[in-house]
Amino acid sequence: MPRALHLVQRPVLPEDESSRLCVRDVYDFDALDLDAFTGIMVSSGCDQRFLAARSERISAWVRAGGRLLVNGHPMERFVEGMPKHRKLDFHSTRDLWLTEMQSHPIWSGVDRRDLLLRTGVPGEHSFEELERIGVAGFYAHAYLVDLPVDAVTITGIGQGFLPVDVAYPLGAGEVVMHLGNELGSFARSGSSAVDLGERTIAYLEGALAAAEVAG
Amino acid sequence: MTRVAFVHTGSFFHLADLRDPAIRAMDITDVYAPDLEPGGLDGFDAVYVAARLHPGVLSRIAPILVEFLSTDGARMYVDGENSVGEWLPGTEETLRGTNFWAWRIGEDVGRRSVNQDHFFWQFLRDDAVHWHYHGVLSHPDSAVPLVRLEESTDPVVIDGPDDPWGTPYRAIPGHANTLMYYDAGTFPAEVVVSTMDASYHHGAGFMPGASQLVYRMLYWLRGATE
Repeated sequence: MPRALHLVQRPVLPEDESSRLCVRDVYDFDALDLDAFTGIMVSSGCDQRFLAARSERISAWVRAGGRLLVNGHPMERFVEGMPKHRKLDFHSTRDLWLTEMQSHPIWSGVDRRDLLLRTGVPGEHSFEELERIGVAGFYAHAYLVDLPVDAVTITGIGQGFLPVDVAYPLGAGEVVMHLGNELGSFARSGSSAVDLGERTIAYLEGALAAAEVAG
Repeated sequence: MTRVAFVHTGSFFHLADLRDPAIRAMDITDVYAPDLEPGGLDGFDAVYVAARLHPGVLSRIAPILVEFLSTDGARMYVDGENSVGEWLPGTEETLRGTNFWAWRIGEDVGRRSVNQDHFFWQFLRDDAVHWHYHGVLSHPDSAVPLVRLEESTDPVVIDGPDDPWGTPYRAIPGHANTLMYYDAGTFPAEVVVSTMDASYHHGAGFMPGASQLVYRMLYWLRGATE
């Protein structure tokens, strides 16, 4: 039985079956036994109006020691302390530049330059080449405000290093927010982010220490 | 006043669309699809089917959307990534890859604005429909293609290339390859369908062309009772 739950905005497919992640349609949330899971990952498209109506249950689960990873833009507060989304006025790659701010086990060893640019031009490309043919902003193109006082900013965006990845303790648990497309989708072979997806799951399983998170 | 329903499933981009002051100024009505029941669209003049609806909810409400098309004089826009081929009679969709980098390298993916003498083009501009797409449509004869993919004569291009997820993004030989159409002949209502997920990218704040398309389709929908 997987210890990490992945909530998605679609019915579950046979190919979702995995020993590491229990993939469930967000609308099946009410029937889930959350105590069976050490971590929950919320996909960016999940219905936030639905989740906001369940914020007490989600918050209580985190307070009891759960680890919650939220992808996407927070438009509704569905867990206590959840920061708010703000638009970023971006015009250049520098406006979207990603900077490591504080450490977190999920991002350990990840050079933020490996998360910045994407292209579909076949082949391996140097960072300099990607600056010419790639597109920035998939990782994040907005920022978070109203962070809890004990939150840490893990990754900053743009010339003001505004928060896009943050973590904060909630009771005995922790909330991690990534303000962009699914974090695991940025794992790229041949880069420092190669095991980003694996580290994300390991964190949700409780295999990576949370204590160093807010330390 | 024209009543326009914005049918959505609560994703962050849907909620962001609904909070956009420019969209609020169009007096659209928030219709949360999980709560939509038969008859729930009665009294509306137009419907914007938001991009990327939850597929399970979409299949449940599809009969309600199709039923709405039997309303004389009504209008509907179906935004992209909604498996339209599975529920809209007469339309089939074949997924295509997503080329998001063409503009960085000057690649011509074959996308063309067509039938530009058709009156619907008064509601469109190239920059509203020339960003990316997720599929090609075949459709009833009464439908007028507005944007389509042109086939290449280069054999290398016909068999590829693929997007990073392994899906080819160019035209399919012998296919209608329509990316967006206007149809006033299949249903009592007028319907526009595209494979561009405008309300996703507008709400996510990441595609100026998508914002253009959202605003322009809402502008058209608001004219349903004029």
